[in-house]
Amino acid sequence: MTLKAPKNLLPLPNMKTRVSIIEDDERLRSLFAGWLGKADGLRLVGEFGDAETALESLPQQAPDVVLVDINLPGMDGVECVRRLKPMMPETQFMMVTVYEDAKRIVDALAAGASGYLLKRAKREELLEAIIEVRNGGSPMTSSIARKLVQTFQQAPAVPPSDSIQLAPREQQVLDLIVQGYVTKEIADLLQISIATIKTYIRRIYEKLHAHSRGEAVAKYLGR
Amino acid sequence: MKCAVTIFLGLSCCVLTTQLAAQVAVTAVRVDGVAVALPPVSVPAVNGRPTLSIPPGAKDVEFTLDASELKWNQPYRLRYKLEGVDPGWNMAYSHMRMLIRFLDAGNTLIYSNDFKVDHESPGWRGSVEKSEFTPGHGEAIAPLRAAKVQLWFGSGGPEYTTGMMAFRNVAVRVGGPEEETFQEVRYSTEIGEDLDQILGSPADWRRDGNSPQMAQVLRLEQPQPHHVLVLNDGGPQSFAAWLVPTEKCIPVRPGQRVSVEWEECHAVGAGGSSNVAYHRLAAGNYWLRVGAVGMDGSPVGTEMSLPFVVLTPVWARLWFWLVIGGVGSLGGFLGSRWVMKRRLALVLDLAERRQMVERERTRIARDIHDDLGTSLTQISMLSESARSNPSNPPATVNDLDRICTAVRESTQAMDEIVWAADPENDLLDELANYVSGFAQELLTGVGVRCRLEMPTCFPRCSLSAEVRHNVFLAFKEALNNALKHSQPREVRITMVMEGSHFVLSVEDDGRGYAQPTRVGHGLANMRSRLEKLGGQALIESNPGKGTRVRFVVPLDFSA
Repeated sequence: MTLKAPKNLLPLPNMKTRVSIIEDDERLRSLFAGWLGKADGLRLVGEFGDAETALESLPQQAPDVVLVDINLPGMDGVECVRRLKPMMPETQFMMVTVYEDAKRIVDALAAGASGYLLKRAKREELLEAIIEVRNGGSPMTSSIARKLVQTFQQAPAVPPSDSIQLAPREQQVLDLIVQGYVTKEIADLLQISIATIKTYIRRIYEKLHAHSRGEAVAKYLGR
Repeated sequence: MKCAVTIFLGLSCCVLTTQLAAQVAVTAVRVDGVAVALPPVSVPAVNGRPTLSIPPGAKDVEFTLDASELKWNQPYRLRYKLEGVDPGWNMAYSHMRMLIRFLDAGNTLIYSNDFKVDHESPGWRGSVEKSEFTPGHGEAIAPLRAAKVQLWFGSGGPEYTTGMMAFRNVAVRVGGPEEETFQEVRYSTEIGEDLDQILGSPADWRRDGNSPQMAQVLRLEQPQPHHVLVLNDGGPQSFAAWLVPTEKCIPVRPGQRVSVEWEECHAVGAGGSSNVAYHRLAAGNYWLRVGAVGMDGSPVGTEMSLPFVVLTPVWARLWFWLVIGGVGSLGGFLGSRWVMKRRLALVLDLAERRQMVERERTRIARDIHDDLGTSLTQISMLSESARSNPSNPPATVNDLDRICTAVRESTQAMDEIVWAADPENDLLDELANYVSGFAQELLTGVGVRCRLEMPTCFPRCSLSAEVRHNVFLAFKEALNNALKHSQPREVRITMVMEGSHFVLSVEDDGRGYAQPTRVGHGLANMRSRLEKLGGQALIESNPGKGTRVRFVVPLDFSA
């Protein structure tokens, strides 16, 4: 029997995960920066105090993960992600928020973010969340899932294409999350692996992103 | 101003001897939650001299209606109307249910999803024979340990449910969404013995309930002769059900999706006793009429009525002003009465609004002081202690740990204060989200299963900061009680609309208790929070069976 390291908790060998921060509160920014600087496997490559400066420099830095304050002065974090994501599709954006404001988090997810983190997170929670999002995982809670169900239920603005419809299995996972089931329980109930469930959640986020792009196109076309 | 009136009407004094004797009555009256004495009842209904006086400024007047003495052997439904307020008759509310039940390998019930029917189905035309059937649909996911799925159509619900529900063409489909094959089974109402008799025995169905004879078979001639199954519930203490016998239940595996289709028609209401409440009745004479109707909507038995008066506040009364006017200046100055009355009304109105704003400010200030002030003081003291103790690292670490905890608690407290005060969050839907987010974080953190049940969308309704704040804090108290006293493995949080009320319940599978005294203080807290909103906090607990707390919040859709 070979021993397997838990894959989703380790960064790729010999490659540090490059992280940038966009946060206007200097104290919080330097606290996060301090944590990131000392962590194994992570490297802090940029710090920005507002969205406008980040828009200029971030695409050249091409970090793997960006922490974005949802509540920035001037251009807010959601809009910032909406503009940056198309320029850097490989980069994962993680929103940082004071409390779990489901409405704005879903807006950010629709704009292309892959996850979110509460400002009161502990050091280990921050580092775990970064590695998790780097490896393709995305967190989801009941209230976020419920907002997603509402979003997907809205009449499609453009003729629905398969790419933005939830597959039955994805719908089922979403329904269970709404009912309070956590990943481990869903895995037991549906007899599938935790990794598979994470894939479903990631796909749901991608479809949400596509769904909102569809709506933006529809708005542009004046339908 | 607070006052409460509850009225209990003695029914035995007016029992009639004919078969149709009306024993629909008002058996209790509460004013702002306090019972008041009931005057004699008038039968038949007349709008006579008021025999009951409600003090001025009463916020809620609640009546208990009761039809348990009604001598009528058919299904009936209670109705009521407050003359001068209600444009038409209101039906007392209850419901019947279809259940998708999951059984384990030993045929023990482990979970059921329920689908309610209430009022009248769109095709109801006074009787099952004349009505059009409408399609019904229900879906559920088989839980862990599920081995079979069983269908159940029944008239309980609450025991006081009365009325009729008829159904036919029941089909169940079992299969995971990504499975190529699925199993579909139709449960027939055409195979069996004596199906032309109401007590005939369909082979696919079995009777259940405390009055199984109310589960009946009915032969319909249109569009071609066929049979339907009926729940014909005429008694407030009885209920009946049709269910699929265990040997005919379809096997399921956990995680499989079960979808059920059927056709039905129904007219459902409440018999027995039922509470109705009126809010902020203006001064004047009123006449509450209470009666019952049969399945076709025509009156049954004799109506009863209760005339009452809501008294005029003293300052709005003529004699008060006459006395004032008389003392001030005899005759001639009656005109000042009008001016004074107007001015007083304006001043009162302004004062009330200012008071509301002030109350809200006081509340926020108090919350900041209570929830944040203590923690911040504690943090400052602990930091001081940590700094003055450089030679004792373990003590310093201990202080720092406690600082961390206090900071975390105050961040959480600030979240709650900001959330409740932010007008962005004033929709019912946001409250539901906040409640579920909070529950999930707290329960998952301590390793207790969290189950949430609520509609995908709530009707659009604005809630004031006061309502959100009180409902949330009462909910938090119930959740903390469950964790502290019950040692549950699972806590189930349900949010539903019942009529114009939002009902939030917290149910645990923990130890339960016989006497609620142990949580007496918390319970009183929750009650007083809900009473402030004109709602109710109800608690049920049995040793070994867990505890259920229900918060009933009246909503105002006009805001």
